[in-house]
Amino acid sequence: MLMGRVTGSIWATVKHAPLASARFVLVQPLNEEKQPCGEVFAALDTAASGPGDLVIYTTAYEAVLPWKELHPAVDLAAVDACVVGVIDRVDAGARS
Amino acid sequence: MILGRVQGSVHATQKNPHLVGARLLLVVPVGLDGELHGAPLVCLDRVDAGEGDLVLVNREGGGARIVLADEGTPVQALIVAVVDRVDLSS
Repeated sequence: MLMGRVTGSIWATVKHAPLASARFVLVQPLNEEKQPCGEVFAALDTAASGPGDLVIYTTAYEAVLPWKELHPAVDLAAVDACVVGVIDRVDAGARS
Repeated sequence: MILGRVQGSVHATQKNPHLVGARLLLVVPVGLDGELHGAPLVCLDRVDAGEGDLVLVNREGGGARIVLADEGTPVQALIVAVVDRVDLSS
């Protein structure tokens, strides 16, 4: 899983059927200093994230699993990135 | 698997149900020169690693699903060892 920042929402009326109720967000990948690194991409949101949120996202097959669980009738959905958590804080410096 | 350095712990209230109760750590991959390389990974910790530790990360979801015995987990990176030492042949 990786860390990113939600930079926007995507609205689409016409969608691949298994993704009918899906919500998509734009995610900027971040480096360890929480600075942008790499290209912004679109991800399925399963953690009620909003613009500005620091999030945990997952890619590849693992991106499909949360949606599959929320929608048991869905076998596989065409998704390659999925937000799975909203980060409250990252504690660093407690032990080193 | 990759070597990485633990930067800190990640706390999230809103998260996937499979991650509830999980210890998540932010790990930055390190090269053999000891330098940090690339984007940090949010890893599930199974070996009680701590900040500053050099760890071995299984960066693959299939392995995580087997280890966690959870077919629905979205985990893609699992800390499987705290590294004491790396010896390189010259």
